[in-house]
This record gives sequence, structure tokens and C-alpha cells, in this order.
Amino acid sequence: MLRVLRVNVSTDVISFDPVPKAWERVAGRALIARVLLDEVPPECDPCGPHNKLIFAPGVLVGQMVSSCDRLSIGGKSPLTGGVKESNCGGSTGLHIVWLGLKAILVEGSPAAGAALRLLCIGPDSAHFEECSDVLGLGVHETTQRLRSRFGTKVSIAMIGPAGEMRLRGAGIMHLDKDGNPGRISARGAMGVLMAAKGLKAVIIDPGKTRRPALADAPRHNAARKLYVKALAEHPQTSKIYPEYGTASIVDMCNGFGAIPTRNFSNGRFEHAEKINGDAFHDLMVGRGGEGDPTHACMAGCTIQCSNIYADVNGKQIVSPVEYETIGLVGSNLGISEPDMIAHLNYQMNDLGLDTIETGAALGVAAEAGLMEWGDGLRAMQLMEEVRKGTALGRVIGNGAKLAGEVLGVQRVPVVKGQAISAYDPRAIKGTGVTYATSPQGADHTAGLTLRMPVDHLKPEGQVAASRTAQIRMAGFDSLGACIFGAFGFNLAPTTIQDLVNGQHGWDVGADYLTELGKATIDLEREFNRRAGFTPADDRLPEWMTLEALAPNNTVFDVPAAEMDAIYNW
Amino acid sequence: MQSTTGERISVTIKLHSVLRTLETTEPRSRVLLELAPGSTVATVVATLKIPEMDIVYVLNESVVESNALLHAGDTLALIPALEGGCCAQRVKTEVQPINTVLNIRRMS
Ligand code: SF4
Repeated sequence: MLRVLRVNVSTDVISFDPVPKAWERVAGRALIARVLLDEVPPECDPCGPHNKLIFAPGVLVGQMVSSCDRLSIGGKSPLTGGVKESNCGGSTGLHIVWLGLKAILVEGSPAAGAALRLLCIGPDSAHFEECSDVLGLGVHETTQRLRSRFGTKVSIAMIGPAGEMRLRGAGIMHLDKDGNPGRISARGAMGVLMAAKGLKAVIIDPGKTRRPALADAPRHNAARKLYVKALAEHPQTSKIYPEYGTASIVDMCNGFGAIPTRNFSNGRFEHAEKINGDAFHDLMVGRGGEGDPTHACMAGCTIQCSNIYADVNGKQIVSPVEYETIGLVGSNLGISEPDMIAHLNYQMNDLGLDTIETGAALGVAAEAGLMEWGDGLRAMQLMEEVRKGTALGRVIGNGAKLAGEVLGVQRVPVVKGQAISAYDPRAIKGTGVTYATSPQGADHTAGLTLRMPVDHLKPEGQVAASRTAQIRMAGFDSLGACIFGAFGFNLAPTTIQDLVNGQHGWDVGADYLTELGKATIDLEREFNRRAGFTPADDRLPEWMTLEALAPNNTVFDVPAAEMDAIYNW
Repeated sequence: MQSTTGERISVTIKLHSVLRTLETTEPRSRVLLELAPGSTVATVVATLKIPEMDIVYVLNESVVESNALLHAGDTLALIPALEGGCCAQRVKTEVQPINTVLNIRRMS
């Protein structure tokens, strides 16, 4: 029987509670929205005592079904002021379920001036520990020290210096299956929320616990087999993702004229071929050593879209390098050297920063004249400013919106205060609808329409495309399934209900994913409405409707009235 | 311009990611093809025996469909498509069926 771990950082009372009835059949992203509506006053200060930091593994988590052990972390976002679910791979979610926990809720506020602590969770126990030896340290050094203190079997969810400084670009970093802190709950300043709860890290020690028993093992096992077979048969999940990873999206987006270039001033990057999937792949293979284009972020993932990027001597720089980082930290800054992108990625990871938010903020800074386009060394210096906590560093570390306000830049790519990811919405308009309308703020993972059967440059059909994508994504985020697993589920759709029912003994039907997705979005919108959001918040920045994007010379022109009707199911 | 003389046209094909190791060519990222006038993107796909998969075609500077006509001197990039799986996959397969609940269209 799963339980909810409540940790009150005002009183230090820790309790393992039964799961409330209304929460039993929701998990992951859906559960976060449910908890927020049930227990968090929508108008509260995101960094105050009434907000909650929520860890909620998805419905399928715990069984090591390929790519289905993802964790949702959420709360009221210090960046957007609205609902937030930030999704990550790695081992944290898996171990939370192995400990028999449906969710971890961190409540209250620590005493003023109290030092950050560790929350250590093991089988049937949880306690706080002091951690003065890691305060102020980067994520990599913190990882090393915590692993030598707690052992190499634990999962760690931690913040870096950026989170400690409460910079709103800060996420929560996690270990991958090899103990490398390269996975991040990146979006929406969850690192700030963790700092506001007085925590530097949460240590999850699974001890001798293992997968929970299945309600209907034959059904679950049969579905797992079918799903993994489908993944193995699909060319994208059997070949392209494993060998090339998301970096391959560079060519696609460049072809569509949608790759962010020099602070979203162009949709085509003239040096795209230097930073595309082929370039990264060939460097990883050619340099040998620790570099590897095929890597799994979590145990049991057969897709292995992740990678390890090494330098000329074969020594790891960072793992992984993903398309979003290449787009925001590469082309968006005019940077065309893979090594430089990898080094910047490492620095951002070490600071515990979201590369999307930070890349967008650097783009705004470059537009303000604080760096030349393509000057990676200057970008590195600006990361040093963040680390030192200088005023300039804090401006950039707080994300694109604040950087634009302080630096007087109008071309700021944000929605609901959150940076747009690496698909310019003027050339992939359905994704623009997602950015505009999603309760999460601008986020491609809320509903990417890149391969929807629509003309991306026309306004027609975009709302429908975005609606479909958003429902599916909200469903997958609640299942705890990596979206790349969708290729397998698409080929063998009955496996979703069979996995869910086989694991939990429920009786969900064929439309479970859709229903879960819709219900999740409904709950999220209701929280945002109560928090004061209106249709005016469901818009792209006005300049994107006025300033045509080369090379297609299109503006974002999906009618507002259509977007306002997107959730009329 | 389209050739009207019946002479073959020469088109540069850029192959990306997994298409760089086609059975019909040595491992390479560029191939120069001599094609009959009136050839389309689909002709290239057939000529190179491109395996069935979702591909984005970029002809010179624009994304086109497989029926786009090719002209002498064109550059055609074949990019195996990737995305997060938000929409239905476009590859034909025996494993059946796409999630009809969501009314997602199957593409070829
Ligand atoms: S497909 Fe990639 S992101 Fe998804 S679980 Fe596997 S390695 Fe992680």
C-alpha cells in the first residue's frame, strides 16, 4: 500500500500518511495539480510557507518498464506564479516508489536564516541532516561528497549554487543511472522552491527495497513485452534516437526555419551543420574514450536517447547534450562549436540552472550588448558572474524575463514568465499555441506539434494540433512515461491500459491516456484561474505577432479567440 | 528550371543521421544523382532505396512534400524526422493500430 510522506520544515514533523481517496488514481503531473488545488492557496507566495514542494512519480513508475520511471516535481512556480510540473528522468522517481511512496510533500518554511539541510529518506524513515560541507558547492562536487557520505546506491535530488541564491532559472538536479548529475527538473524554478523549503538535497536511499508486487503480473508482463517489442521495431526508437539522440532535431528545425537564432531574430542558423546531430554523433564516436552517443538516463530504458559528450582526449565534458540546449545555448547565441556548447552545458548543470531559461537569458543579454554573438568565452564569463552572485550574474540567472526588464530589451521570448524552448512559434505555430495556452507557461514538452499533419506556417489547424499534443503530453507526464516511449505506445496502444491495470489492479479503459490528460489540464487551469491568470496570460509576446521571422517571413497569427477555446472539450 | 530537353538533371542529395549509411551508397552524407527530367523527391527516395520512415524533405531552402519536382542544380536534404512523440508516428507498420481514441491520423 503506497503512502504519502509529509515533511513539515516549520515544525520538523515528518509523517507517513495514507493516500487520500481522491488521490489514489492519479499520479505524476496529475497528482501535482490535484495536491495544489486541494492544499495550496492559489494566491500564496511561491516561496512562502503555504506553497508545497511536491515529488510525485508517475502511475507506471517503479517497475523498470522501459522509459517509464519518470518523476514529476511541482508546486506553485516561483517563475510563472502558476501551476508547475517539471519532469525528469534518472533514478529518483524509481526509488521513491520502491520506498512505497506515492508522493513526498514538503510543507511550511524553515526558520529565518536557517542553513539549508538534507532531507534523508529511507525505508520507513526520514530525517534531516546538516550539510555545511556542501553548501555553496557546484552540483558535481556536491554529488561526489554526498555519494561518499551516503553511498553510491542512493538517488539524490539537489540544487546548485543558483538554487541556493534563489535565482529563478534554477532547477533540481538528479543522478542518472550511472551517478552522474545530468538530469534536471529544469523548468519553472523548482530549485528556488526547494531552497525556500530549506533543502539543499533530498537523499533517497532505497535500501533493500525493490519493485512493488504487481496486481496482475501476467497481464503486466505481456504488455511490457509488446511495448518493448514495438520500441524495438520502430525506426525512431530503435535506431535514430539511440544513435543520434535529440541533437538530430537541429536539421529538422533549421529546415522548418524554426531554430532559435540570435535571440529568436532568425529561424535559420547558417552554421547548423556544425552543431547538428551528425556533428555531435561523429565527435562522440570519433573521439572515443568516454564519449558515447548511446546512453540511458534510467535503468531499463531501451531507447537510450541520451549521450556522453567527451573532449578531444576522450574525457567526458557533460552528459547529455540535448537539442534544447544546442538550440538555446548554441544557435540562439550564435555559437557553432560543439565543445563550447558542451562546456556551457556543464557549467549550467554545475550551477543547477535550466539551460533553456539560461540560454534565453543570455540571448537577451547579447541583444543588450553584454556579449557578442558567437562569443562562447564571454558566455562562460557570464556564467562565472552567476556563480559569484554578482548583480549581473543574478540578472541572467533569474531568466529571460527579468533579464529583458533590467536590460531594456523588448525581444524577450517568454510566456507566463518562462522562456520559450527551441522551436520558434512563428514557424511551428501549433507549438506556439502550446506555449501560449499551456498552464505551464512556454514549454515544448507540454505539447510539441513538430510532426503533426499541419502546415506549420499557416494559422489554420494549429489549435487542434496543439490540443491533441497537450492532452497526450499531460497524459504521459502523469503516467511517468518518457514521451519517446510514445512511439512504442502508438504502435501497441492497448499496452497502456494493460500496464496500468496489471500494475495496480485497476480497470482503466482504452481512453485512459486521454482522460488523464484532459483531467490534468482542467485541474491545472483551475489552479491558475484561482491564482489570477486570465486569457491575457495565454498569449505569445506581442512582438512575435508583429516581427516577421526569416526565412519564412511569418508572424504568429493564430487567432486569440480560437486559442481561448482550446480547452473546450 | 525544369529541363525540357530530356537531358538528365543533376541534383545534390544531403543525407542525414541514419541515412548516411544506406545500403545503396557508401557511407556518406552527400550524393550527386543524375535523374530524368520530371523527377520528384519520391524518385530520389525510390532510387536510393530509402527505408520506410518519417522523413523531412528540405529542397534548397524550403520544406516540401514527396511530390515536389526537382530541377537541375537543386540540393535536397533528407532528414529522418524526430520529435517527442506527441503526435502519431508516421511510419507504416504491421503492429496496428494508432490510438484512435485521440483521432490521430496515420500518415505515410
Ligand atoms: S528515451 Fe532518453 S530521456 Fe527517455 S527515458 Fe530513455 S534515455 Fe531517458
